[in-house]
Amino acid sequence: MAKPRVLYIVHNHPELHPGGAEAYALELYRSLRDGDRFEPQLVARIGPNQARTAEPHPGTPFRAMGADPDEMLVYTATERFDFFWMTHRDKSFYTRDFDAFLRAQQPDIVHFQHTLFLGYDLVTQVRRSLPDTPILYTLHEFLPICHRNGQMVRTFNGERCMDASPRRCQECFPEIPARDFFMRRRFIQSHLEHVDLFLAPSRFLRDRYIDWGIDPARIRFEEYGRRPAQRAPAGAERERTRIGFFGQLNPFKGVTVLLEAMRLLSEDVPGAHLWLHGANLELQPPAFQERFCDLLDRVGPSATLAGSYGHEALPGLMAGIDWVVVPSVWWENSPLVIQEAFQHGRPVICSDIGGMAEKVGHEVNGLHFRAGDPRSLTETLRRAVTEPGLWDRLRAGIPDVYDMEDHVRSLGEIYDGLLNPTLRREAVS
Amino acid sequence: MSDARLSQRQIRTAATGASPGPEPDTTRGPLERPRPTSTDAAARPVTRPADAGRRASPSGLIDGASVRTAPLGPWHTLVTFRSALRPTAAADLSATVGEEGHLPLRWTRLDQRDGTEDAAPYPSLFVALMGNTPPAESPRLTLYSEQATDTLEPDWSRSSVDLRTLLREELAGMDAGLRTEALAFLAAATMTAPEAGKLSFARDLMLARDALREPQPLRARDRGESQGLNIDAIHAVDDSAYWVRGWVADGDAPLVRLTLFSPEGHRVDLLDDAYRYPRPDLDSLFAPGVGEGFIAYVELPGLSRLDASWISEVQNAVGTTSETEAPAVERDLDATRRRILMDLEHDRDHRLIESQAFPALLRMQRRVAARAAVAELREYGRRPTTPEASVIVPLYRRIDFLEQQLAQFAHDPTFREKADLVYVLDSPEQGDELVERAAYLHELYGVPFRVALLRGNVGFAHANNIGAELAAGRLLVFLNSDVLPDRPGWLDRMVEAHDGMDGIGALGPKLLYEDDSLQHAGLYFQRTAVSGLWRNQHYFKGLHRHFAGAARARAVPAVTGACLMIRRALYRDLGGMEGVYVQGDYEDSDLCIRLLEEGLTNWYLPDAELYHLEGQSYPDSLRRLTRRYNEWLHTHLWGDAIAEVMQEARYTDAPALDREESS
Repeated sequence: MAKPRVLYIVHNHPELHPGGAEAYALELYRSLRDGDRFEPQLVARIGPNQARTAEPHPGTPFRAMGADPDEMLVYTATERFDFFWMTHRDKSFYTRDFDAFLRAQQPDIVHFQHTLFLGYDLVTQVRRSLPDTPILYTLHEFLPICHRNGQMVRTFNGERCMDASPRRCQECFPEIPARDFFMRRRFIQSHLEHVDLFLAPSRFLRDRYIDWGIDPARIRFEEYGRRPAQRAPAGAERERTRIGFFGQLNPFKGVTVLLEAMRLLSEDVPGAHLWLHGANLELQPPAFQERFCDLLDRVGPSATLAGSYGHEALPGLMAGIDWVVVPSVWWENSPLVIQEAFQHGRPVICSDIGGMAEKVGHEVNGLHFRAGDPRSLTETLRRAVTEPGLWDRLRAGIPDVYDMEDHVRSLGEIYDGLLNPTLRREAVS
Repeated sequence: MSDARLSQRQIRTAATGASPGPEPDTTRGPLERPRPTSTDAAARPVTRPADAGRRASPSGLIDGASVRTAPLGPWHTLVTFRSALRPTAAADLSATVGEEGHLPLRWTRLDQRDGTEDAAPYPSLFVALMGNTPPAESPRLTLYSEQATDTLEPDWSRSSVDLRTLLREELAGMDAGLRTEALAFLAAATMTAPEAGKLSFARDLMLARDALREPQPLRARDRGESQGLNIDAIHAVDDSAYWVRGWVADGDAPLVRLTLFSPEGHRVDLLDDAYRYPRPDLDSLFAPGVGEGFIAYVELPGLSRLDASWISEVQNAVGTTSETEAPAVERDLDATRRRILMDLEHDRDHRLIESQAFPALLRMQRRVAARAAVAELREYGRRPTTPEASVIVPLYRRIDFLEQQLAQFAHDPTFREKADLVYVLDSPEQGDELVERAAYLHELYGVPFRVALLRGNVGFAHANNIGAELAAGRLLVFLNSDVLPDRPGWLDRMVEAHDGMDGIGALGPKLLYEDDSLQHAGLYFQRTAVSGLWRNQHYFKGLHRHFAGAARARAVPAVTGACLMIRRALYRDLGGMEGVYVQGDYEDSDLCIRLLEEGLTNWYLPDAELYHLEGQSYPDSLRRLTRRYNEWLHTHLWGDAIAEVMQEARYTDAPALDREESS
C-alpha cells in the first residue's frame, strides 16, 4: 500500500524569513519525510513582505523551493490580503489555482499550520476540492479570535483580554462597527467548520478556542515536538547570577518590565547581570524604543544588549547564562524559548499567565512572578540569584522536552485514525 | 427616394406626432432655409383631406404681404401673418406640400385691440409654429374657418428673416399681456420638440423669452432696500418638473405676484402654491419678519432643457417689481432627492410634505419604477427544479455581504436543496465587480444562486419585485443582504410554520443583533405624540434573545421586510411591494397592512433565528427626514387602517402581557 500523503500548508518558509511556527512546520515536515510511514509535502506562502524577489511565474502562484520536489512555495500578493476578514481578495486564488494544485497532488491528509496571507477560505477550498480528505489545523496563535494581531491585549489600556465579543472588540477598534466583528467571527468559523481536528500546542490555547466556539471534541492538546539538542553544560560551580532574555524586543514581550526589575535589583545585588538576546527594536513604536533605551541606560552596567542571534548560536548563549526570563505581558501560546531553555537545562522565570504558566512549573522547574509587575519580578530574581541550591533544585525538575519522534508518532496515530472511516468518527467525537 | 416623397413622409410623420423626427440634415447649414422650387406664388385653393369635397377659395382672409417667417431651432419655423378673421370664429391652420401632406399647425392669435366683435376688419396677428419644414418644397398655408377658407403660397425666400428680427418687428412692440401670451404659446411648443436639436431649439426659445419678456429692475439684496428676491437653488425632478427654493421680502406692500420663468419662457406662479416659511436670517437685510423663504414643487406646461437663465420676478400691490436670475439648475436626481428630503426640516405641520414634497417624490419614484428592468441575468450552478422557496436578496453597495451569506448557506444542506436563491443588484455600477466575484464564490461554496443585474438603481421595493418575478418557488422569502442565519435549518422551520397556519399573510422570524439582543419579533404601530404620525415599532427590540415574551409564535400587525416569507401567488395578486417610499423603509408594513385588509394574519416565528446586522448607510439628518417623509406617506395611505388594527387587543396588549409572562 502506498504511503499516505500529508500536505502541510504554512504561511512562510523559515529560510525566507525566520519565525517559530514556520520553523516548527519545516522540522515536522522533515521529520515525517525521514520516517517511513508518510509521504509529506510542504507548501509555504511567499510574498513581497517576506522575500526580496517574489515575483510569481506568469499564470501560476506555485513554484518550487529547491531540489526537494515536495517543498513548494505559493505566492500571494500581500496587498490583496485582507487582514480584517483574514481572506485573500482574489477568490480565483482558491477556486482556480489551489483547486488545480489540490486535484493534482491528491493528498490523503491536509494539515494546516498557518493561513496568514493565505486566508481561512483555503480550508473551504480543500473541502470543496477533496470532499473526503481529513483536514487538520494546528493553531499557533489567536488571530481568528483577536483582530489585534491575535495579541488579546486591549488597545487602549494594555489589559489582557479573554473575552472577545463584538462589543468589546469595537471598544478596541472604535472605527470598526461591532457587527463587522460579529461577521468576522462567523466568516472565519464558517471556514474552520470544515476542519476535522484542531491541534492545540497548549491547554491554555485550547481553552481559548473552546470559549470562542470550537467544539471541545474537535480540538486536542498536542505539544510541539522538538528535535533533540545537545544540552548546554551546567557550567562550573558558581553563583547563578546570569540572566538571559531571548525573543523579540517588542512591548508584548515584557522587556521593559524586565529592565525595570533589573534596575531595582542592581541596587542591592550588583553582581546580577542580564543579557538581552533579541532583535527588531527598530521596528517598534518610537515611544517604546525611547522607553526601552532610557531604562537600559538606567540599569547601566547590569545589562548587556547582545542583539540578535542565529539558531546555531543558541547552545553557546544558553551555556553563558543560568536563568531564562520570559516576562511577556500577553498570554503566549507555547513559547518555543521555554522548550529551548529546558532543552539546555535552564530553569525559567516567567509571567504567571497563559501558556507560560502552563509550561513552567512554579518551584518545580522555574519560578512565576506577577505578570507586568516589575517589583514581583525583582523579588523573584533576587531569590533566584541569591538563594543557595535553588538553581540546582529547579534544574533537576526540568522535564524531558517532547521529542519530535514522539510527536511524529503521536501525529501518525492521529492521521491513521482520521484515514480510517470508523476511527475517524471516534477521533473527532 | 425622391426629395419630394421624403418631404411628404416627414410631414405626415410630424403631423401624427409619432416620431421624434428625422436626423438633422447635415448638408444644410442651420441658418439656411429651404428654397422654394415653385415660381408660382399665387394663392390657389386646395382640397383638405379631412374635409373632402369642401372647396376653399381665395378670400383674402390672410394678408399675403404680412407673412413673415423665421427658423426656430433646427426643425421649426415661426410664421406670423395678419388676418381679418373674426375673433370669435373657429379656425384651423395647416401647411400643405403638393396635393397631400397636410400638417396642422399650432397657432395662436394676438388681438391688438379691445374692440367688440363688430369692429372690422380685425388686424389680428397670427403666430404659428411649423415643425419639420420640408427641405425641397415650400408649403402652402391654408386657414380654414367657418367664415372662409384661404390658401396662400408665400414666397418663403422673401418672407424669411432671422428670429431676432421677426420677434423685434412683429411681437416686441405689443403690450405686455400679448407678449406673455405669445411667450406661453412658444414655450408650449417644447412639448412636441424632437429630441434631436433640442438644445438649439431651447436656446432660440430663450432668445424669444428675452425679446418678449418685460425686463424688471434687478433685485436688490442690500440693507435698506424694501424689496428683495433670491432663488437659492433649482433642482430638476425631470425635464418639466422642478424643486425651487428661495426667499422673497417686501417691506412696503403685500406681494401680488411671484413668477418663475424657464429659459424657454415657461411661466409658473409661485405665490399661491409655494410653501412659505420664516427666514430669521434675513432680518439683517430687511425689517424683522419681512423676509420669508419659499419652497415650491412646480410642473411646467412644457419641457425645459436649459440649465442657465432661469428668472424669477416679484411684484407687490403698489406695483413695485424686481427680478433675479437663478443659479444653474441641478439635474442630478440623487441630489434632487436629497435636497427635497433635507428641505423637510422647514416643515412644521406636514404642509410642505403634502403640497410639495409628496408630488415631487412621487413623480421621481414613478420615473424610477419605469426604468426597473433586468439588464442581465446570471445563473451560477444548478438550482432546484421545483424549489420550495425562492430567497430574494437585494444587494445595494455592500456586495461583500454576498460572500458572508454564501459562507453560511454552504453549511445548510436543505437550503442548498430547496432554495432558489436570487440576488438582485440594485447598484448597477458594481455589476462588473459582482460578476467577477460571483463565479468564484459559487466555485468556493457550491451554493447555486442567480444574480440579476438591473438597468438602473430602482430601490428596495422594485428590486424585490423584480426578484419575485424571477422567482420559481412556491414561497418567497425576502431577505436583506445583512441577514445571516444563526444556524442551518431556518428555512425549513419557516416553511413548516407557514404551511401549518391557515389564513397566513406574511411570516417573519426572530432577528438578532450581533450582541444577541432582539432586533425583530414582529412590528406594531405607535402614534407619535409630536407629529401624530404612525410609526413602525419592533416588539421587544433590544431585549435579550431569550426573553420569554419573544419566544412564542403569535399574530402581529406586521413583520419586517429584512426576512419575510409569503406565498408567491399571494404576493403577485397583491401587486408586490409599493415603490413610493424613499430609500427602503415602510414597504414591509405597507405590504403587511394590505394583507390584513385581505383578512389574512401576519405571524411572528421565534423558532427561526437569524442575525440582522442592521447598518446605517447615509448621514443622520437625511435619514431622519427620509423617515419622517416615509412615516407621513405611510400614515397618509394607511392611517385609518392602522388605527383600526391597533384597536385589536391581541396587538396592543401583547407587549405588556409578555412582560408579565416573562417575570
